[in-house]
Amino acid sequence: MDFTPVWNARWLLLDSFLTTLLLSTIAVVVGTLVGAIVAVLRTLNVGILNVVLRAYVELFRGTPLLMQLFFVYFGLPMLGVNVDKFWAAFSAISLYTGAYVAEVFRAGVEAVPRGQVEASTALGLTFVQRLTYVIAPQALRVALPPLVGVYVSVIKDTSLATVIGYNELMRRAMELVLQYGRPLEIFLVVGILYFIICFPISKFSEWLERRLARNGA
Amino acid sequence: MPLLTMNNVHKRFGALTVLNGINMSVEAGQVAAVIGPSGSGKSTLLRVINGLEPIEKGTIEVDGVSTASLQGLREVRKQVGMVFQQFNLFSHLTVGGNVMLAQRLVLRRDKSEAEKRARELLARVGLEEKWGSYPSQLSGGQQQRVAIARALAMDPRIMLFDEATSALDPELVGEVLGVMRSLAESGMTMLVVTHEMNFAREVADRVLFMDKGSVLADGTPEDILVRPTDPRIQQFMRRLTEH
Amino acid sequence: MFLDWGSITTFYGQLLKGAGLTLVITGLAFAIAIAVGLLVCAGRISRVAPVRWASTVYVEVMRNTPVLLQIFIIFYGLPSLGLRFSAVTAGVLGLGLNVGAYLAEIFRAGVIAVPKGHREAATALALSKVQTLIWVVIPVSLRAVFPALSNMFLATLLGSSLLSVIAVPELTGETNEISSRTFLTIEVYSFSTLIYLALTLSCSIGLALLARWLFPRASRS
Repeated sequence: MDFTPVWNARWLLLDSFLTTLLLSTIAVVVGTLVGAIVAVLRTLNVGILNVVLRAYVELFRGTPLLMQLFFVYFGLPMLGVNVDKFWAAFSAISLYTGAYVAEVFRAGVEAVPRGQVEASTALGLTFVQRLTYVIAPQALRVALPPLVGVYVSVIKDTSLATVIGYNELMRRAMELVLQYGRPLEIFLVVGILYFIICFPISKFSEWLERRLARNGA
Repeated sequence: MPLLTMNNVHKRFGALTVLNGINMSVEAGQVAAVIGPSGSGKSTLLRVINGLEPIEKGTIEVDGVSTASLQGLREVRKQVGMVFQQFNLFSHLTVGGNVMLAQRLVLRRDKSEAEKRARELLARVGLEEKWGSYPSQLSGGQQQRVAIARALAMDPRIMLFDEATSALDPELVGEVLGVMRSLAESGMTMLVVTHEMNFAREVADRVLFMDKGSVLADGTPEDILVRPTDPRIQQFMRRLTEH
Repeated sequence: MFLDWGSITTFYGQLLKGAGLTLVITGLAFAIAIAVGLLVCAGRISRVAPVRWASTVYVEVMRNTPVLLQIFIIFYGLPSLGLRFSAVTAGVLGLGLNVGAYLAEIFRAGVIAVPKGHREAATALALSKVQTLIWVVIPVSLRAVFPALSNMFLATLLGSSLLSVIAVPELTGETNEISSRTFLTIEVYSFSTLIYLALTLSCSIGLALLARWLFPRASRS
């Protein structure tokens, strides 16, 4: 084992590590927004809208993220939409995340007892009031642990952006391997970098889950 | 020689002494009811017999076989049938499957023999038509009768009943007690932890009153239930009749 | 700009072959994952502390680093220790080892889900520990975890596309190859997307039917 190449490239790795964090953060924020909007729209139960939203969720959950990345990056230019690497990575990962987040929220909404929704309707609350004061607070409690779990997946999944040449941590690792050899050392160090960010978030998700199990919904 | 003998049996859960030097025996064919306030160690008394709870001190023998060795314990488990408060039927097996499982695995009976015995016993508890049903499709009383048939299928020498009717809706208690009563009449040796004083008075040959991990009194139903002399038993009986 | 849907008919054979390889990879990786999952689950509930720690470390490391990285370590990294695998083997191994960590946790949850009374009844009926495990604990917990297992199978199917990155000609790999050779990018990616949807849909229907056959409705307490 020889870690000198890794050590020499430490600033490059750190830089790419920050890029991975940035991409993850943006994808998490946008993905959560998309997922929340989809979940809320689905509670409206409008026929055609439901079909469209369901198709979105099924499409992005039923195909590999890798295909989605390729489609956006190589396919869209063919339709005259030019996307750079960042936009391709960011939009594909966000839409993919949004589909998973939408399902997490939907499960949360379904966990709210029907009787409470009926009771709040009977009390004359509007749709927005029902959502704000009755459904959302309870649904969020249930959804939070798996939601944080999805965020861990997002961080790991940003590594796939390497296939379209976006210069995140994984890409940098491969470049260093090509330049210096030493694949085992370089990938191990990169693995540690992913681990130190993913592990605490995973534990946080598990803690939230235990707390939920203890206190109930 | 008694069928079941317990000598100086001690059992603790942490700092709490649950069985404090139990000495008792049950003769073959006897029906003994165990009564007493909750937390007095009645359930534990049953659970140490087939080793569901290990004991710290003392000896337990069933038909001359000690539970001290692993081999002896396994032999004792074959001889001792147990019925639980919560029925504990295997939810993934049908009624027939429940009654056949241990016959096949432990007694190594072949399928037709196990099935024949299972059908006999289910008929005896009045549930032969439930052969293919799953536990979740049965009432509590029916589940408990299947559980009794399951235990009987091992042809045990002695049957332990751990508050077999306590988890049942009041209207379902009678059907289970009926099965237990006919089992007693058939000569089965039984050790019955129960809150059903009428059952104890009418069916048991003997009543043991437990308090704080000890057998406080041991006598005929008449002695213990009708004319108790010990003030603690008098108090217990008074509280029961107040409800 | 126009799309040439007709031309991709030429590539049906190649894409279907890729889809076939995708299924084979998924099946092999999932088989490895089940074996690894059972082993690591046993380790997680072992009474020997070092075994427990090692299993926990395995689960946490595999679940908190990208599976692509794990595949790279096996394919590019291990040869420097003298362990050389073909791309397919490395990919199947990487995917299987990764999914195995998730399965270990699912199995553990399943074992915990078996009611205590089931075990006690089995003990009282003189079943041995092994008999109790095989005839009571495993069937009851399998039923509890089957939905989670099905989800992991579908995740394995989608994850198998990562093998294209190390040049395994499964469905994604073949799609890339055709796309870069013919520039029928939209057409071929759309078509492969449909194949993936068909695969995931038929697998989830198949698994649901399997569940229905394995676990009659009434046996689900």
